[in-house]
Amino acid sequence: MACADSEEQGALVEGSVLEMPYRLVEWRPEHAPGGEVHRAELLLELGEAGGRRPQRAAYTVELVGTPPRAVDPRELGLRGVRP
Amino acid sequence: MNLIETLLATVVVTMSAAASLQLWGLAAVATAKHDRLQGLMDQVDAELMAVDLRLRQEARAVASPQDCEDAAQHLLHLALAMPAGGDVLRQVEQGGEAHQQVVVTVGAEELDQPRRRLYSPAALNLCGGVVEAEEEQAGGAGGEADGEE
Repeated sequence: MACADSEEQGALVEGSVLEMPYRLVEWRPEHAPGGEVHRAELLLELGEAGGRRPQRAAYTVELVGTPPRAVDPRELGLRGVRP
Repeated sequence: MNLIETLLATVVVTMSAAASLQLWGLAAVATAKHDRLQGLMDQVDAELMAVDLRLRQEARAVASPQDCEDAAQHLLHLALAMPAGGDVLRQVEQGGEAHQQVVVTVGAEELDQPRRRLYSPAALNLCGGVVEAEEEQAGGAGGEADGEE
């Protein structure tokens, strides 16, 4: 199994999309009956943008193929505001 | 109560009634504006969800992975072909790395910030498998992100 390079691994932890910075707070794998991880729930912290305070939001992604690729991201919703 | 007292009482009642009416008027205007903004935000959300649903339906209908740039073009045309409704302004453009992603911006003139969403064909599983395998053979690698504002 090939590993992603350091830049790609770094982008999994933090980066920015459409000028909005994000940071991975935690992720929770979901296992298929066979034991393989087939889905993951991500908790991201969305950085300050447009004068807004940082927010946390949860998403799910499907993991397909080998090496796994994260596809079909879906938002679960906001998870409160950082104090 | 003599005449002067009666006149003064009438003036006081009239003034208080006018002030009360003015306050009610201001409150009604503020409520109407709030309702209007809330309605616009609902329209923006509905528009974004409609585009999202259409693009994901298309992604499910495509059986085999395509080239990422072709898939981005396909998504772009698909989103552009959708009719925009009401007071909502929608903009669809290519974006991201190597123009292999589509940015959908939905807003309204009265709203401060539009909502933007980046669609990556690779994240929708429209491409990536074949291309990624080819890149691996050539010693390269690819990545994608999907986000929302």
